[in-house]
Amino acid sequence: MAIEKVGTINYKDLPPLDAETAATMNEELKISVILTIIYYAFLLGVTVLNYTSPGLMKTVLWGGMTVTWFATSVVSLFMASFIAWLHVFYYQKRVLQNSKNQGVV
Amino acid sequence: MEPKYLFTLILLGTIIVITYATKKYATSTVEFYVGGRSFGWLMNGSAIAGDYLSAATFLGLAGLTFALGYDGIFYTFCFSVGLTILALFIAGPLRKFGKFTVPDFLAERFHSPSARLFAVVVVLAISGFYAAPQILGGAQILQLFFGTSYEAGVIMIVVVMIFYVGVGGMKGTTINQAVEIWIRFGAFLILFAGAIYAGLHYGKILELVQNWTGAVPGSGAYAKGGADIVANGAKWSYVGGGMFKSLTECISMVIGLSLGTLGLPHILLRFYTNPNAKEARYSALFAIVIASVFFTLALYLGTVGRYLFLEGAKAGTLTPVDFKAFVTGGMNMVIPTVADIIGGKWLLGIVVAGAFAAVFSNLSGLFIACSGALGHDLYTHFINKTSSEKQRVVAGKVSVVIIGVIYGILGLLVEKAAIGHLVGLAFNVAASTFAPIFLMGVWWRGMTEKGAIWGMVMGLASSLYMIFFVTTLPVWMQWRIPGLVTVPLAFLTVYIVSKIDGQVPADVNKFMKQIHSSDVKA
Repeated sequence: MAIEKVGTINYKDLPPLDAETAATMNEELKISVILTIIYYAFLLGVTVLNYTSPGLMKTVLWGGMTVTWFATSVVSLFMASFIAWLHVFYYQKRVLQNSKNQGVV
Repeated sequence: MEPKYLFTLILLGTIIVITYATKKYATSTVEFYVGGRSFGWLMNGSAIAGDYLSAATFLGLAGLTFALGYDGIFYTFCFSVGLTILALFIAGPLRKFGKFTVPDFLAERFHSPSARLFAVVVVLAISGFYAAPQILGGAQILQLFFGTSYEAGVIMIVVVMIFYVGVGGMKGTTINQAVEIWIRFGAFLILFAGAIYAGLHYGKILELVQNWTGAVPGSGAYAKGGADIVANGAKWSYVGGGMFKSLTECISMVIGLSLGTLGLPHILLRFYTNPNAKEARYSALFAIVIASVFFTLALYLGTVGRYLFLEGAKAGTLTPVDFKAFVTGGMNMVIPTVADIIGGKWLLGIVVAGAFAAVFSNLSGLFIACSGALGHDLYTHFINKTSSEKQRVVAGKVSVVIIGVIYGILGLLVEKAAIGHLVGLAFNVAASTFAPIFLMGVWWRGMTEKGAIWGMVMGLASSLYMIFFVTTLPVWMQWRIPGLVTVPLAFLTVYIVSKIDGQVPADVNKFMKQIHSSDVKA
């Protein structure tokens, strides 16, 4: 249970990651960042539009359901699941691709 | 026997049976802290949702919508983001790291006992601030529905938790949490079906509530001062109607609450309990789907509550008990009152059991996280480094009792406290401490031990200051959740100190390879 003593190294002298790990990290980070930007653009978009374009956000879709109420209480929650599903979908694709590359089925 | 007693007894009976059935598994550290890493996505996803959807979610979000309208749903909107960001950046790598506790991550990333110790302090701080309102909520539910005193309520909840977590360990806790989330979910689905069957369609009821302007007839009989409550539908239905003062406060709330989930120890811990990273990712997705549907229903039911209150008052069809509950019962009474109106005492009984399920489920996660911090991180790594497996398990169980006593005292102290501050503090501290550390620790090799510790210190200190001394700040910065300042400050501190320090662990590449290895090989 004791923590292994491994010492430190200056970041500038650190050797690069092996190609496989670097590629895996890059692919996953890229898709995660893209999905996060889309998600936050929506979230902050709704937040900002509430203040800058109240006319648009108060537009009634049906009954008393306004654009902002629908976006905040329905679409955002659907988006949470959709973004997470997209992430898993791309993950599955990546694993499948890796399996093919390594001859594992 | 009244249904509320019947359903609560069934819940307690289920907890006892599951806990005893899983007792035999809580005999090794890997079983006690991470359930033998044996949970598939269905079980662990349900348990994550159980951890995430607390009593405040089950009762409070509908109550917020009822009282504050759009500001209430915006609050939920901010909460709903966190799990998704966690799934995108943390879930898979954390499982591949595969240890026992949140401080383990920092300690092994930097080979640093001081990082572990500081992480223990942060785990206890976040969990304590988060647990206090849960215990308070549970004790209030006992007061409201069973007539116990507040103190007796706190003691009962803590005793159930010590038994539940101490005897069953992670295995029993996870199965209990999974069962409990479906009790709550079932209660919401029955309520939803009942409301739709009664013709309460979303657009229709929203229209009526939004168009309501003026006094609510008869409400004065229950309100303080004796005057009828005045409802303003236009104000209720748009931002700024009750909670938020400015755009910057809204943005700060989005950042603080969304990243706060990323740093909650009891949620992070759950990803260690899957057998592999694939199951961890699917668990996160399943929890997000459950939470999204749950949040959507909570917001709809809050609107239903508002409609039933206004229309019932106008038509004179509300019973005095329900009328009083809407006016004086506080936000936690909205869901039980809606249940009583739509389904009578049987549905109310299910909702009361669901509320207890929410309290137990969330608290048990916090108990496990804190017992790990004490029993595993403190005892095994500082107090008795040569401890045997049996001693470590005993230390975990003793830690559960210690945490129970601490939480019990905390619960007694916060009876009159500003609960919003405590929850806000928990989320903001998590967003400003563990969130930057985990995000950068998983994805950036350049983060150093000093950077991590200083980032956590800065995030913790700035959060405490901006919440507890909020009145000393300029008015435009007096936000409920100060994430807009504290989160970037913590990220920047980690980055700048790490850049200046420059000394990264010599085996950081090995660490990165471990947590980002190909899932084919894993």
